[in-house]
Amino acid sequence: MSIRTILAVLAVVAAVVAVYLAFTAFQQTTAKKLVIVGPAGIRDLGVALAKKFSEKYGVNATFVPLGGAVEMVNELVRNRDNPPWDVAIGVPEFYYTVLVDKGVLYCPDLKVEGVPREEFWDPHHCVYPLDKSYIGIVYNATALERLGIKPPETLDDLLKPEYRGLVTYPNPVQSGTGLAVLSWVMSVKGEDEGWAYLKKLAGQISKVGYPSGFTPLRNALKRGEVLVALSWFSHAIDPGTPHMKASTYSAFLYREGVAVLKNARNRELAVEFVKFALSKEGQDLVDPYNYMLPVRPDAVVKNNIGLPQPKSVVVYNPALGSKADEWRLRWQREIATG
Amino acid sequence: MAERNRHWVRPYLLPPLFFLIAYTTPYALLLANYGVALAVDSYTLWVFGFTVAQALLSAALSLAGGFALLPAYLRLPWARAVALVPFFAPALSTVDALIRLHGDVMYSPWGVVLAHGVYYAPYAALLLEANARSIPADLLDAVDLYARRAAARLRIFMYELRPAVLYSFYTVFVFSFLSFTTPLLLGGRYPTLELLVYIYATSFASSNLVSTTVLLTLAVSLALAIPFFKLPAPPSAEQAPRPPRVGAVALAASAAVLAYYVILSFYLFQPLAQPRGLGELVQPLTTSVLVAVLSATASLMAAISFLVAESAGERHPVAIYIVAISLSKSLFALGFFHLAQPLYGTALILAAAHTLVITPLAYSLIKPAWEKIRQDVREACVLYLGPFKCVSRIATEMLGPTVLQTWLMSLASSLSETTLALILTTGGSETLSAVAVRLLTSRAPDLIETGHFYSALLATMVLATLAASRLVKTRPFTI
Repeated sequence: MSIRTILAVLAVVAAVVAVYLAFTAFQQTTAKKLVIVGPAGIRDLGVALAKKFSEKYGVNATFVPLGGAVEMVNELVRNRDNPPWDVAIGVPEFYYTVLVDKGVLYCPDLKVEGVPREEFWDPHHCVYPLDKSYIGIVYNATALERLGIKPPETLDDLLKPEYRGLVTYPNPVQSGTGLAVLSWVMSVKGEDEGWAYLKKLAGQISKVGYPSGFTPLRNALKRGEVLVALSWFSHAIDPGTPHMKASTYSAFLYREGVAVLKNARNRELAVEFVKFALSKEGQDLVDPYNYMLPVRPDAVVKNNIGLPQPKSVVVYNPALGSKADEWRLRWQREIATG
Repeated sequence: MAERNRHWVRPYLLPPLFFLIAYTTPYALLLANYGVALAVDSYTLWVFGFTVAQALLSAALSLAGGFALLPAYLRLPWARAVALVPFFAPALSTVDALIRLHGDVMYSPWGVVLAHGVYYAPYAALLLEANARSIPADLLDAVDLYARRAAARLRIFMYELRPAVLYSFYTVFVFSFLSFTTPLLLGGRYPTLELLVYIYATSFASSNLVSTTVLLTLAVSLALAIPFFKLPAPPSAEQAPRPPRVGAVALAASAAVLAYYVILSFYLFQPLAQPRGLGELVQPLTTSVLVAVLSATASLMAAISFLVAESAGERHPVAIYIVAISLSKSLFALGFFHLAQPLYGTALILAAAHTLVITPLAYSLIKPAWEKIRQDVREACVLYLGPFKCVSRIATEMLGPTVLQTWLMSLASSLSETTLALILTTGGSETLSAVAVRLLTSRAPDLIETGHFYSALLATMVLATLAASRLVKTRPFTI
């Protein structure tokens, strides 16, 4: 075969590939399907909601996992003009204002029956409550007992020498849980003392470093690479982490929501999805698939029946919202880089 | 003749002009989107200083490694092929293998330097070898006869090797300065400017942060291009009548360094023994191959159109090439992201972006082969057939094997490309390299294991493609 023939074949193959890719790109950008986006940690719930919604409405709904909650929010901002997604789930309460400020969300002002008024935390009516749970100190009781170490109760306990190399919390730059930890520390200690605390805590961090989200942290806990974490109370009732217990002295209330993207290709369908997610049928999936508490009192709760209840609860202070980016930046510079 | 040339230049100028516009538009869009703000704070300065320092140390380490490998290159015919495995493998695969080989030390600031040093040392050795083989035989004989002291011999060799030393030091400095994948995979705790732009653009909502780093990176990377116009290229190895003699001690030391590369290559392919995530592999693998086929062919066509323009008397393609290799890829990717909005997340837009960044590589591979054709033959060909007919019909037939090699190397380059794939396909049609990076940086042990397998598979595909390109034999260029 002459070179000229080979080149001609290559050109033809490339032309066929170009036509195929153009066709798939056309399909990707125009297809009538609902694309749900959410943090990787909420994948099980996302897939379950998509499946149930598809069955009920006879549409093609898919879930796309996208890093941690914070990474997802910034991806939504980055793609606001032409998002490849229609609706976002797992939008954290303390990092959603950026979506409102940058005009990323569609705010339909829905009337939802069955969800108590106090569960609605977004005054702009752009983000609707999906679920909630507690973030606090969780620890591997078996491993600590084997090491002869008393379980920690307070944030200050974690600075004790016996916890050196045993502690972690998710990276706040990438993870909503991590940012919640930051919000918790700042709320409890104030900013100056909070940063001083985080710097001291950096010396106690385990070899795995700061995991990028819920799933990586859960895996590290499962493998015993981390014995103490600032994370979800649900680790204490998760069969995948049977040795974990929660310190109930104090905890932070984490709430997350669902929101329609303003430039979604299938906005009407996305609004229907929000209604579905807040319906009893949708809320019944929250506990089994996400280990979180549903916002509807009538929704099924089985997994969270034994969820530890904190003695005192720290709630999100909306005034801190505008500081989230500043804190994350400072954390990246002063804590992550050391 | 002059009149005829003028008519030629206009239409043939269009492809390079189109390329120039397509290549620079993303940078302009980026500036337009983020605005112009230069508020350099202490952290950005720290990152800039770290980027310069690690690039200097990486260049020095690569050069030292290059000198260590040189005796093996000169004496052992298979040494080059072994040492170049980690260099030709995708950067993400080599860094992943280094992390598994060296452990936690790779997450320190020295990890970045070590990774760059190990990665580029075989490349530096390649340049040094070509230069060493080009030393005239009579000079080597004179050194053997008259230079008794080792220091004197060393001074003579160092003087002769100066072009390769300067060129390899500077190119490795530039490559390390513009490094993205390596610091990203090493945890991002010690970012380069390239990575900082990406972190700011994807993880923070504030555009002021991005704007400053964009301006700084753009200015520095443009400044880095200037020395490429002045720097003399190291001589090619082809005139070598005989290589310099290598002593047994130097060869033994060199073999020890070579053994390190054998071990590293083992670590590179080791995860293939434990396949994982096969079900999820099909989609990214298909996307990678389709994008690579399309972009490699389009890059080849673009490179040939540059030759046509050049043969018509247009000199701009050389300048485009030099600027393109030194400009920041993450800035290009972020700018292209805004340009590609309507088609974001599709494989088609990634193929278009790959075509733009791979064309300079394709051009740099074809151009030397074109220039090896005798100048009078080229001129006669262009004069009687016209630039398009000459290049496309006659020269393409003569350069056929080189063209095929170029296509395969462009294919490998597209398969390994990570920066654009990460920024343009998130949440859409992801490539194997993008998925591998996401898995490797996830910090979830299960996902990381799958990432190791994907990374090893990618390295195998890329190296097999490059090995296939070496099977194509080039011909002497005579008529």
